[in-house]
Order: sequence, then structure tokens, then C-alpha cells
Amino acid sequence: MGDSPAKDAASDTSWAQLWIEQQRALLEQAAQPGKAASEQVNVLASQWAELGKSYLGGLMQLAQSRGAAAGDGAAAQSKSPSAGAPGNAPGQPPGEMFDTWKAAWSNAMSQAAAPGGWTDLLNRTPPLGLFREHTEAWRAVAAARADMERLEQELAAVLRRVQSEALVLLAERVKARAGGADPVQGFRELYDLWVECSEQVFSTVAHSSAYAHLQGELGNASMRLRARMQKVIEQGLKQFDLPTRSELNSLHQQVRLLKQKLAALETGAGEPTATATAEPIAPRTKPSKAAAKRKTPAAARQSRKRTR
Amino acid sequence: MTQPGFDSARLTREIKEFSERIARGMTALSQTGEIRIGSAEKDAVYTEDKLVLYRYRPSAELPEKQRVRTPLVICYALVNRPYMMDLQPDRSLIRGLLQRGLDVYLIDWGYPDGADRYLGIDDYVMGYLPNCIDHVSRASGSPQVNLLGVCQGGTFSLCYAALFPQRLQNLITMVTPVDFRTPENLLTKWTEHVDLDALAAATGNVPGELLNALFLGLMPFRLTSQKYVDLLDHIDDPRALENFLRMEKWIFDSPDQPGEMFRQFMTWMVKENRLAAGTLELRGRRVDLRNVAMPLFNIYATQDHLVPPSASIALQKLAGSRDYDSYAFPGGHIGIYVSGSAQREVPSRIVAWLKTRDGR
Repeated sequence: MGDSPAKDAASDTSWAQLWIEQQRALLEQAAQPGKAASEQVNVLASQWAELGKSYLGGLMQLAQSRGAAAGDGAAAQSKSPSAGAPGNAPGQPPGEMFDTWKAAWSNAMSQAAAPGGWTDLLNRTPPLGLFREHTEAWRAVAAARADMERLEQELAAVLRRVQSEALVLLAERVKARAGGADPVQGFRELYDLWVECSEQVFSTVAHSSAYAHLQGELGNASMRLRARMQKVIEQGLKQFDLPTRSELNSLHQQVRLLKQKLAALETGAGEPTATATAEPIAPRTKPSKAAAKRKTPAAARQSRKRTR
Repeated sequence: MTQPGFDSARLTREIKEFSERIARGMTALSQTGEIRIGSAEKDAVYTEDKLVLYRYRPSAELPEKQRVRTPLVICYALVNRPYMMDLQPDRSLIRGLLQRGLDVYLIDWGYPDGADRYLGIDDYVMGYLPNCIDHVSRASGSPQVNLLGVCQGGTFSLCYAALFPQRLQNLITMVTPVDFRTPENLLTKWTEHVDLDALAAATGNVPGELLNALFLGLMPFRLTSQKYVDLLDHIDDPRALENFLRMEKWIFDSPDQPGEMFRQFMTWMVKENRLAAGTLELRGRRVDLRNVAMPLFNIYATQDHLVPPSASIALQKLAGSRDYDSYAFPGGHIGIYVSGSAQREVPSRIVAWLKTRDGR
């Protein structure tokens, strides 16, 4: 009965292949690079650079035209102590100065023309003036965000690869089953098979050291961003004399230290608690001189570890 | 004989049925109301900071001679909530233990907040846990207790047992990681490159949601997609739907982890594997598993994707107990509490094991 229409229909998996192709197309679409925030900053920086170039160009043209117009009375002006080099209007910078300036500026612009170059240049320049601390903190946030975005894109690429390879595996499984007694017959079955293939491919990737490294780096980058944002927010809170997390942490540590001291005192008074069998509790924060003297070497080591 | 094959009518019917099921599912979900958790009656008998120690009301039906005299203290993990042990009447390890004559206490660590961020492992192992056990000893008149540690709570229990062995008559560990560096341990691999100091410093208490995302990431396709598609198969069964939602609540009802405790646990236990290596020190005292000389029953799950069996089995070689027994439950990390076979097997094995070691 292998040639029956029902069997042919059972082994017809073109609909499944079509679905797989659609998923591939979606994956390719998702892989198209979008404009990250850092890229947008670069675009903005380039626009500013262009604006600067045209402004300087305008200045140059103006200086040259005035210089030419004033050329007729050059002899008279050369007698003036305030006059510049020959060919320049009175009170205007000499033409060579503009040329030098333009050359230096063009050079800087060409160096900064590489993607991200202008932003990098700005970021490498130390902030100055009244708001330097705030500028520095915000720059640190921007740098951490850019770093995290880069790693997010790397992780997204890995996950797209997982899905892509899972689709290849799925296609193979569908094909293999189409030729046998157990062809894929419905969407739900296809979906379950897709999940199985995806988990299989993902498991291999997830156990690799490269994936662990990437995921760890991304986690670290997100923590850096979080910490730097906290710093900026705390600066803002202090402006309004509002309590910060750092201050609360300091208080929590002090309360904890006091509780431990109290517990140690109670234990010393002979109250039967389980901690009586343990060594004295080592403080986590800077101990008093008297407390430091009482500590055992092991407790001191422990304390140092805790305050890292 | 012809086989049922693919045709467009069949696929159309499948799509239609699936859509209808989604519609019915939305209706059913909107009618479920509040999900009730827990079933066995209990009383709070000791509190300290956010910790609450509960005593479950013993089963009144059993004669005295069928009871286990030594009380059992359950030390649950700080990850997720302990009501997993007593989720609902027909899915309750605690009910199973009570019905078989155990006097059961449970430590609920509560929901840590900012005030707890500097709590360390020592505070749990050498502070809260001993205080609970002291209370149970005093209340029951039993100088020793039986301790059952679950998952991370099992790791804490092992530390306690190594430091205060004289306080325990028997120790039971369930799905407890001991050797964190076995090849199957994916969480350990993922932790390898994480700057845990920076993590704890930046997050304070480590958010439960962050851990949930990590756990879902272990099997992302099954846990974020397929699970919910499968739910539609049971959408017409209110009881199954309620069970699902109860479990869903438990999974995502995740307390934050005290920052310093988390940092220590992940660094000392997971990254440096100090417990297995015998190099863990708490408050200047070495935690030596060879001191775990009391009878020891190690229960693990063969399909556990969070605590692979190899991480638990290592205990046999590391512990000093000469009376070591184990039970390999054929299921996963959660199924060991809530599956039908778990209800039949796990409490009865625990009680049978304890009864033969009661009142030595």
C-alpha cells in the first residue's frame, strides 16, 4: 500500500520545509545590523565635524576675500605696527595661520573619520571645568553601555546561530521521518520537534567555554553599567540631600557589627546558644582596636576576606 | 493498511482547534481566581529577623509507638520558597511525612531585603540554623534532632552537620549539591567568568528575577515556550490548570538572595568548590565533611538539570558517615516533590530510613 495517495500525503513534507524556510528568512532579517546608540552618537559626531569644517571653510574664504580686497593698500598698511603679514586685512589673522589651523584640523578630522573615531577621541579627552566630575561619570556610563551593547550583539549572534543550526537539524529530521513510518503530520508535531532540535543544539553551545565566557563578560558589562548608573544617580540624590544606597549600606554594616557584638556579649554572659561553640564572631568592617586585639588569626583572615 | 497522512484539511483543522483552545484557555485562565498554596496546618514557633520556624501539627491518627520520636527540621534553600514542600493536599512531602508519624519543623527564611545584604553563609550555618535547632531541642526535649536539607539548604545542613555533629541524630540531604565542579554542572560553567564581587556590589541583594532568568536559560526553548504550548492540552481541566498556575507561582516567587551570602556561596562553593575540597572555613572553623559521621541519607534526582546527580553522589566519598544510604529518584529537581511517584516513594523511604535509626 506504499503507493497509496494517503502514504504520499504522509511523506509530503513540503509544508514543513516551507515553514523552515520562513524561519530562516526571519533569522536573516533579524541578523541585519540595527543602529546602536553608540552608532547614533558617531553619526551625530560626524555631523558636528562637518559643521565645524564648513564653518572653518567659511572663515577661510572670508579672510582670503578681505585679504585680496586690502591688497591694494598693502604698502601703507605695512607701516602700521599692528599690521599682520603681507596680504592680510588689518586686525585679521595672517593667511598662514589659517592654513596651519586648517591643516591641523583636517588631519584631526581624517583621523577621527573611522567609525567611532570621533566618539573615541571625545572620550579620551579628559573633561575639564566645573562639571568635570559629572561629565566623567556620564562618560563612564556611556562607555559601559556601549560595551554592553557590543556584547549583547555578540550573544544575539550566537543565539541566531543556534536557531539557524537547529533549523538545519530540524530539516534533516523531518526528511528522515518522511521516508519512514513516522512522518511529521502536523504543526504541533513539527513545533515539538523544533524545540527538541533547538535544545539539542543549544545544549552543545551552552556547555562550551566560549559561550560561558561570552555570557560572563556580558553579565560583568551589565554590572559595570549598573554600578556607573548608580554613581550618577547618587550624585543627583546628594544634590537634594536625599539618602543614597551607599549610605544605607554603611548603616547596615554598622547595625550588623553591633548585632554581632551584642550576640558575642550574650554568649559570653553564659546564655546557652548554639553559637557558644563557635569562635568569636569576626567583624566584617573595620574593627575597634580592642576588638582587633581579641581576634584569632583565623578570624582575622576571615575578616579580611569579608571586607574585600 | 493506509496511514493517516498529511493533507491541507488536516492542517487547517489543527490550526482551527489550536485557535479555539487558545480562546478557551483565555476564558479558563480569567476564571481561575486566587491560587491557594499549602495545605497542612502549622504554627509559627520561633522567629528571628525574617526567619520563621514552623511546626506542622502532627497527625492525630497514629499511635505513639508508630511515630518517630526525634523531631525533623527541614532546612530549605534560600532560592525559591519552602511551600514547595507542602504545595497542595495531594502534592505535599510534608503531609506524607506527618501521616507516617514524623514531627516536622520547617525553616522559612523569608524575603531578604536591603538590611540583610551583608549576611554571610556563617550567619545561616552558625547563627539562624543552630538557633532553630536549639529551639526544637528545647521544645521537644530531644537533645538531638533529625535534619533534612533541601538543595542549597542541604549544603547549609552539611556545613552545620560538620561543625555541630553532636546536635544531629540523622541527616538527610535532598537534591543537594556537594561537588560543584562535575562536568555536567552547567551553572558552574556559566559562573566561571562572572565577577561575583562586582555582581554583589552592583546589585546588593541578588534579584530573584535574575536567578529565574538564569534557570530559564538552562533550557530556554522548553521553559519559555513549549511549556506554555503544552498547557493548552490541559486547558479544559480546571484542576490541571490550577496545578500549573500553582507551580508557576512557586517558580517565579523568588526571594532576592542576600548579596554577601550569594557572593560567598557562588565563590566559595561553586567556583572554588571549597566544601568538597575541605577548605571551607566559617568564622575561623574548618568545615570538614569527614565530621559528618551521623547516619546519612542522600536523595537525588536522576534527571535533575539544576543539581546533576554527580554533584550529589560525591557526598558518599566525602562524608565521614559509615551509615550512608542513598535513593536515586527517577525524575527532576522539582518532580521529586510534586510528581505522583514522589508522593508515593519519597516520604515513605525517608520515614522508613529514620524509623530504623530512631532513638539510638
